[in-house]
Amino acid sequence: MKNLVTHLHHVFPNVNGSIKALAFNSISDKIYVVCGLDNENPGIEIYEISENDDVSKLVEFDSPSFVSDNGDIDEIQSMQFLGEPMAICLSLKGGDIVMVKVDPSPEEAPWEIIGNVENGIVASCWSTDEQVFCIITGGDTILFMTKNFDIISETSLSDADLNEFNKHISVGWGRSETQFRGKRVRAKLRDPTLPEKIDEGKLSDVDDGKTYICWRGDSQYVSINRLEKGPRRAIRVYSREGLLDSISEPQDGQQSLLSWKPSGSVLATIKSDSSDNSSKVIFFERNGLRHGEFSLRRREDEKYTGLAWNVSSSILAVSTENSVMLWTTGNYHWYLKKEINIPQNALISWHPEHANTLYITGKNHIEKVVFDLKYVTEFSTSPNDFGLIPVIDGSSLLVTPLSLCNIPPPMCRYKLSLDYNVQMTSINATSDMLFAADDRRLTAFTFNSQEDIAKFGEFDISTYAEGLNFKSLLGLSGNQVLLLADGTNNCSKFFVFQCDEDNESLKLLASESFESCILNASYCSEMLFFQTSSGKLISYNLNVKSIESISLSFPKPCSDFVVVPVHETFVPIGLTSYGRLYAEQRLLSTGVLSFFCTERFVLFTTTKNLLKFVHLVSTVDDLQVVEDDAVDRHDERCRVVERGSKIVASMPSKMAVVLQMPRGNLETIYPRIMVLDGVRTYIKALKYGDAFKVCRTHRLDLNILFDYDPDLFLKNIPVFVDGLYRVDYLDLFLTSLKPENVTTGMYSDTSKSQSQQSVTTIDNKVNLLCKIIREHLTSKYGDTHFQAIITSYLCESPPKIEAALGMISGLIKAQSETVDLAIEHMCFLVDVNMLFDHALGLYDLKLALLIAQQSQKDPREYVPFLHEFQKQESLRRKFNIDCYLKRYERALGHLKEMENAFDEFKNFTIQHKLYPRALELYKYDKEAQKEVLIIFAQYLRENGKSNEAAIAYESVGKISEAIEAYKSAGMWRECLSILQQTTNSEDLIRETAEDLASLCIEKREHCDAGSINLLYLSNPREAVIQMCKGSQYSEAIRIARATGDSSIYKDLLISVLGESFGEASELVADFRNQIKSQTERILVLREKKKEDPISWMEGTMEDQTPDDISLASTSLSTNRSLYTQYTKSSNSSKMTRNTSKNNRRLERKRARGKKGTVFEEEYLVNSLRRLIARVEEIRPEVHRLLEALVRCNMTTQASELQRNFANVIGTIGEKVIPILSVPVSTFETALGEQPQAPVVPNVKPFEKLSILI
Amino acid sequence: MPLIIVSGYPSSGKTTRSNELKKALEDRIHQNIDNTKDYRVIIINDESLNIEKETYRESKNEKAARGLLYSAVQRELSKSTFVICDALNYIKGFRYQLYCESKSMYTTHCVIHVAVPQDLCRKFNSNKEQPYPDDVLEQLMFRYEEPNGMTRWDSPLFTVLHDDASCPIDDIWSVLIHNKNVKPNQATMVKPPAEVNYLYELDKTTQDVIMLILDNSNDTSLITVPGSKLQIALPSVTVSLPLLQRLRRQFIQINRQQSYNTNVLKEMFVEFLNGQFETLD
Repeated sequence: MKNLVTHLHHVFPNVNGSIKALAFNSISDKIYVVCGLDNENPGIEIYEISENDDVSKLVEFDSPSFVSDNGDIDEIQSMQFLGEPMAICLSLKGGDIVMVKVDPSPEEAPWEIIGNVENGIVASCWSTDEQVFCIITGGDTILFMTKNFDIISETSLSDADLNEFNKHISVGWGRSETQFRGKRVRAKLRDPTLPEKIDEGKLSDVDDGKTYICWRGDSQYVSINRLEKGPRRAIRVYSREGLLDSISEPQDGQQSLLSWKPSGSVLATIKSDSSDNSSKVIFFERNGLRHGEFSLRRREDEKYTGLAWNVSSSILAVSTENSVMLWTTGNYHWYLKKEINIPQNALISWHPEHANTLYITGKNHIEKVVFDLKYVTEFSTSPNDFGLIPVIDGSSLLVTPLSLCNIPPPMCRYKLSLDYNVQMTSINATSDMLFAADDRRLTAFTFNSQEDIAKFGEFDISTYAEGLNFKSLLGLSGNQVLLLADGTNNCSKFFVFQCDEDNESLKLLASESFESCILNASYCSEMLFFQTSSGKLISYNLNVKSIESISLSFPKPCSDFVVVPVHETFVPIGLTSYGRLYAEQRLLSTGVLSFFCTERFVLFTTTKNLLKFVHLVSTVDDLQVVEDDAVDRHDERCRVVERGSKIVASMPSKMAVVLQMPRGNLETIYPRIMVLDGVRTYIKALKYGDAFKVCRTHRLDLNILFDYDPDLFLKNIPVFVDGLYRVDYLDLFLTSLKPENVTTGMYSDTSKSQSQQSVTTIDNKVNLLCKIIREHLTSKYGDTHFQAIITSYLCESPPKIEAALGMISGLIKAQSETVDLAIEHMCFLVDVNMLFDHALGLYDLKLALLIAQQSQKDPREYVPFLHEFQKQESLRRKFNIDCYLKRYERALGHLKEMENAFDEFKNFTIQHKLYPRALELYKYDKEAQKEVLIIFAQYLRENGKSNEAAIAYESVGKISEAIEAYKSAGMWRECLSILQQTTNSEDLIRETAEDLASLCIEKREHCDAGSINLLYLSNPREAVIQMCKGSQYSEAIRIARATGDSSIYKDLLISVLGESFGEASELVADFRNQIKSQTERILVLREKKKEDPISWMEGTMEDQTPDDISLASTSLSTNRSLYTQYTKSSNSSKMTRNTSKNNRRLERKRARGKKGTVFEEEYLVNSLRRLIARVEEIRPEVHRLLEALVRCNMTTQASELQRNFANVIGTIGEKVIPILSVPVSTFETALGEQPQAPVVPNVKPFEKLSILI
Repeated sequence: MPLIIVSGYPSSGKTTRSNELKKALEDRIHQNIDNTKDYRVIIINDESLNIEKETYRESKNEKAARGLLYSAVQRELSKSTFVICDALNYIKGFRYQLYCESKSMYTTHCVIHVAVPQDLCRKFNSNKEQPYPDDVLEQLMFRYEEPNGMTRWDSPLFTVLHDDASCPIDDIWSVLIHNKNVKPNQATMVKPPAEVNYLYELDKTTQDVIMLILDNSNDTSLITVPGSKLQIALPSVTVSLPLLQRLRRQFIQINRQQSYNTNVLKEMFVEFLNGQFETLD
């Protein structure tokens, strides 16, 4: 869809002579032309032309060999500049090869005849890499020479080659003759292997008999087009080393011109097709077979003077005597993009490096034309963004508004036929007018999105073309158009015309000449911007018709640029030929294939298959270009596209971008950033309906409608509801609500910096929105939008099913016709069974029946079920419904309301354990509450909570039950206090006290038993005994002295203290003995382990069996030994035998700590730890006992006990603690593995009574 | 190893001083001072080379004699030999030549000037068994170029008067033995030869890279170069063979004179191409 736009049409000054050939110096950007060898000048002159129009004579020389004996003058055959020797190579038809130095040394001859090819030179050509020189000699041979003019090979162009290579036979499969068409046409059958027509290679009537040579782009092959025996034309392909590769098949009417596509796929030549009286370009493959063609749209006998591909294989130039045609291809179609008038019999040649630079060699001067392939526009704004793209194809203009339909060229929506070949085309700023022109005529069309394109008028512009070359056309506002032309002396001129439909005449609005060359132009808000060849921008104000001074410029000249209005400033965006995208002086990106601008973005595609968006801002330095890895981070400004994609158009109104693939097909995409930007724009304009439609179409999360601006949304709920209006739309929105903010995650707005984003956090967002929207719906659309109202109830968290059902009940009462629809909608949203239960829960049987009818329930089940409820009284019905729904607390409430149902109430409470609720219900009925409390107490008693049960019984006056409960709970104080208060039976009190005392003794609560004996049994002796057993010696002494009975003090107390002393002494002695024996044993074990670890590991340390008997332990023999524990088989066998049974056996062995086993040490260490714990436990008891003994004048016993106990603790500190500090190697501890450091308890010295000796 | 140049008027006592110096040096060598027991001392003079006094009458003969003396000194110079050049050595250019020769052998040198008045020389000459002819003696004394301690080739300079008891042997020993960092000049060092196939490798490597670009330029914009860690980033426009050939010639011209390892040529060329593609406008 690209058109060929002329950037520059420059005419160099004349040279003094007739130009014969042209050569390029890419190193210093110069052109060399050769003149001479004619009647005017028998010698040779070479001129040097530089870019700044400096023409100078480089060298002039003559030689006798240039004139033959009979006076004929030689001819120049070819000319080539060679970069390595910095010389020009000339080949003459007579066979001379001349090398001319372009910058010779002072002592060096400027020119030199290298040699002479006998028989003369018919054609010659240097390879593309300037390494091989190919010459067709007059002796019908092909000669290959190196850059040093050494012969590589010389081969005869033999006629025998034609027979060898002429094997192109087409079998003809697929032709109509090979298809069966019935018996009637059998007589017409013929041999299907023979084609209908075989070309014999008949010469064209306009054949000039010349020979052409062309190298492939990579210099590996060379092709020649020459007359062969027959006579016919054939294309021979030779390899770089001079080997014949192929000969083309015969073609009638084949002409002499030849051009090999630099990419190497096809060779192009021209054919005069007599069958349809047309000229065609035909293509050959390297193997000589045909591969496609296209018509040049000219007659058969047209004479062609040149055929050449440009260096990037994108443009094919075909020249006739008066003009040069430029062709491009796409989607297997060939477009005539441009036709330029050239001087008579001029030669054409492309620049060897710059793909879009064409040189036209006239008789005395050189013309340079610089093109660029570009789309018609790179800027569009809504609402005029139709994506109108006119495509030039000769005299046709193919137009398609891409926003309405996506039709790839060469097909189109509108085909406009003109009387001339279109050179330039454009559309105006609002996309309602199209312009097309050549150098004489300008045609305007009007475009309307509802109508066809209509011709507006045709105008003559030839009077303005004097001395100028029109090169580009630009539509302005309305029916105004700009024409840009190049003149002589590197100057340019522009015209601004206004097309007048009535008068069919152009009105010249503005015109201006520039002293420097203008490459292209851009239009923006009544301002024209022109780019000079140095990249500087010149602005022209159309209102005042004068040049204004601005400081905008690009670092390098851009082949395409657009000036975009951003906040009352102008931002120029330009793209160079080499893919550099500039925003004024700033380089945005490299490797850019195409770009497009809208009001808000710059879009561009890169060679890394990315489509990037840049938000447009006033300051160029603030433009943010994302990195290539933004795709992985899901940044909306970057997305992956197909390789080689180019932007054709971007339509913000439709949030679409149209891309063209390398083959030519079109794809329309909707980038997320454009869709989101459109949605945001709609939201800010309160167009929630449109925003919703876009979200629905492109599957955006609907939460963005709220999350983007919650405050705005909450203030405009009516606008939102009215905007969506449709019930299903509102339903969709409500059901998609979720409690998160999509604008901070998925749809982050990249046009704002992070610091500027203020996120309003809305708690309970879903319920809030449902509530507010429902309020508005109820007030305004209550009769029509009940479905949405139901949805708003059910989308809350948790869903408000009761409220929705209540609404439907209201509809039922109002006898509305929408009840069925409402119920159907509700059944769709919620599980119907749950809905049925909720309806029952509302005690609305009619509603439940309607819901059941919407479900798949069996009517024979639910109809009798509901009917049974219908027959019952209201409270009974509610009770039964609550029981059915397992809402027992509510059922209990209804049961309370019924008369004469208290017994049932109590049974129901007991059955479902609803005691707290029952108590609550009878809060104001004390008698009934007592009844409930009694059954509750019984429940507590049965479930192990006797204390609460007892308290409950006491509160309601059930003394006997309370006493029993207190007994069960062991609360003797409460029990005996009640008993004393309520009964006069001393025996009962004594009996109960004795029971309680026995119970305390069983639980080892000796102090409590003592208290009972003292207070209620009047038994101070037993009390003293129990207090001493409970180690409360101080209390025992107090009781003994308080009774007044001295015998208790003298005899009983002393005796009991003596017993305690005896027990304590025995315990201390046991401690001492255990410490002594176990510490000694541990030391012995460790010594043995150190001396003999093998026997220790084997567990045979204490082997008591005689030497003559061999006895191995069944269990231990399967364990790892010291030497085999690291082998794989040993580990495997251990794993196999290490079953749970064996593990339990080992655990029992470990617990026993049998003497002589590997577990003994571990057992002893753990035993010592437990001993220390017991010592710490009895420390306070010993202290109290010592005090009691001293108070009772048993000082000797006290001193002894204190000394022994202190010694035990000292021994623990001195001997036991060091033993415990050593890590214990257990059975599982492997060799080399460090055991864990043990935790050593801290034992403090015994705090002695200082009064004891 | 060190070179001792003795200079002075004819018949001024140079041989006497040389023999005295030789004896003193040999004494120190015998004592293995500074690990010089393997050193030897040699005196090169007219007598050892059979140069007659009449040789100095004509410049042609004198030049041949001086060449003979120079060759003898050059032969004897080594890292472990004290060479005492006991001759007139009256031309400072000749002394400079000897100085350069010792420098090229990484060894030290010094000049001993036997300073004796001319009248005393004439007196000594008349008492010698083989005296200089009077006219030759006068011409030699007239042409004598006295050593200058300020110049590079005449330093360090030791002046010995006729009434000095002995040469300053300690100082001479110190400057000859203890000063070890003599190095020849950069310009006189021998250059290592470059690789013989450098130009061929330069041409072949660059050509391979260009063919790789032409083969792959239609498929991708990033070309992986085999044998290199770098990638070629092609510009967005088509890269033509003339452009590549021009860049290749430029690269070859830059690197033709320098000798790089052929292994890094490919990477250098890839870097060069990437840099050029970056600057294409």
